[in-house]
Amino acid sequence: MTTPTSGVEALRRAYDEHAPGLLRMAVALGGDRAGAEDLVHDAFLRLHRQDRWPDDDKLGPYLRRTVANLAYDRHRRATVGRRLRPVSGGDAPSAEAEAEGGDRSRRVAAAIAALPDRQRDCVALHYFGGLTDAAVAAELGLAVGSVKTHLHRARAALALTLEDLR
Amino acid sequence: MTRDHEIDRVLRDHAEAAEAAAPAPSWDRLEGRLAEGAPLALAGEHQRRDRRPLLVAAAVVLVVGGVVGGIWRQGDDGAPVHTRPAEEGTTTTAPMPTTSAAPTSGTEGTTADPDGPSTTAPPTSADDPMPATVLVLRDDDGDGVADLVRLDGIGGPQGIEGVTATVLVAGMPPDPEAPGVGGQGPYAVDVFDGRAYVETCCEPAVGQIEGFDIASGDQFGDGTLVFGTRPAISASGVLAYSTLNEVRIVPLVGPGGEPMVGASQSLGPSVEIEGTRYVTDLAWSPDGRRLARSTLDYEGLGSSRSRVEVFDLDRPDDGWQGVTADGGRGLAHPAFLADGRLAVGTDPTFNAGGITSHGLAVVDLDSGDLSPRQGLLEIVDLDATVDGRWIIAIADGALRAYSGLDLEDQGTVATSDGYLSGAGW
Repeated sequence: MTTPTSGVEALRRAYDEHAPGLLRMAVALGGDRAGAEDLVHDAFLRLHRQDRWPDDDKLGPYLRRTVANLAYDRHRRATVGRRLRPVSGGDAPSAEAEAEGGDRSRRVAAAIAALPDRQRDCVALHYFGGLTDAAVAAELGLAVGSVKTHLHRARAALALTLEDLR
Repeated sequence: MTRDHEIDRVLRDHAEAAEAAAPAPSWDRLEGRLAEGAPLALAGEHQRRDRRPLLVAAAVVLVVGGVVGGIWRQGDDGAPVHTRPAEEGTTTTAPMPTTSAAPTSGTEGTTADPDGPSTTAPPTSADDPMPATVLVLRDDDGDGVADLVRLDGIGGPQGIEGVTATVLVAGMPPDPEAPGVGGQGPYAVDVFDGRAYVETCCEPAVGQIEGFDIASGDQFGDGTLVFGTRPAISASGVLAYSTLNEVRIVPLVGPGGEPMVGASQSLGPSVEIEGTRYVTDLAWSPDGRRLARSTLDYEGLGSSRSRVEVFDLDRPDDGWQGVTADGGRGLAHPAFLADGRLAVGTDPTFNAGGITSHGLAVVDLDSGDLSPRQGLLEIVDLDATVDGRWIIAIADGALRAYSGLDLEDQGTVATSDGYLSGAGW
């Protein structure tokens, strides 16, 4: 691990290099662009608050992981919030409205967030992080074969959840 | 389009939409939050937030250390794995298949004629030695997961004792679905120009074909090359595969050296396999102008609903011609012999281990007559050398070789104590 010589300078360099890809991933996992920038900025703030940073070649995986976890956290909180908060006429959209309204992106993002951890991570990195199976395996510490299996299972699960989107 | 393909498309569309919708990075806004000492906008549990980056960093260090060292390491699922960056590569060009009568060149499948087809398949001789190297899908490290293994010294004077095994790729994925639904892959492998093309998953619903360099074990291409089953490659480098309800062909390399696996063409009508029937195996003739397929009715579970047919590229209007084993002995796993006759496994049944057959015979495609050569074998795969001179069979848990001239048994060339499937010269 290395310590940045200038915190903000190093953060800026890391931001310039990684933020565009992270933003795409955050939009894909969050289902909307509104909170995507917050997710990514939170990831960089966390990095900035660390005493020691990952090495340069590990920075990308660290940031992707952080963004993904923040996205999943947000989904979980939104799910709990909907369960606890009574739905009024002008509040959360009805299930019918959501289904009909075709808020496709949010549905896909929510379906992915609901996958088991490993499947979800493999999908996020492969489809939204742009990583090959081998790179996903390296980043997650898995065998390449396991990554393929997780992706296959994830697609099978999503095929059921997103039946009407196919 | 299969369900797996459709969801793959949904995910890729979602990624593209995210790319289009992603805001431009706003450093100014982040800088503003830094200056204000702003709290995290999405605060999670304190313990988890603090712990996770360290765990991620530690895991990444372990992974990178293993990769940099180029050594075998344990993945977190316990399976040893050899990972290296996928590399792009090209092979010499292969001709596009045409419907004219131009024959393709016949080679041993290890090099391609860069000038394209000009000759027929080379004549074979009883003196031609058995190729010493074959690839198999076998569990060599005892972890219960199949590996892609290169066997050298096949057919040598020391017999089985002289065979050496090299694990090219460890941990090929077993099919995750229950036996009887998705089988227990990986299933099949074929070889061309120093590369192995492996079907890793997930019969009979959908397959994934991936490519590996035989010398190094490195994977090439970006993961799955094509979604399909039962890869079979002709002498001139045309890949045939099944997508459950049709057979497709594509040259592996285009005229400009570009990989062509994404631009396949359907062989025959686009929906050829009716009902629950599906392709169990594919095989090219030595001259690369005929493709054989065996099919089995998925719900039949018996030999009476299997079929072996041949498609002639020079007579595409004839479609698939062959024989159906109704009421008789079933047929599976075709392999062309040197003289163009077709060998098959007989009496196929479908079980948890996949399709198995119980005899080896030559089939007359006009009459359907079988000339049995070997019986009482549980055959799970047959593969012929490109010129049809030699046949290798996975039977009774071992690799057995046969002469492609007369199907004379050459004996067991390799064995396995566990999973064994998919052999390719």
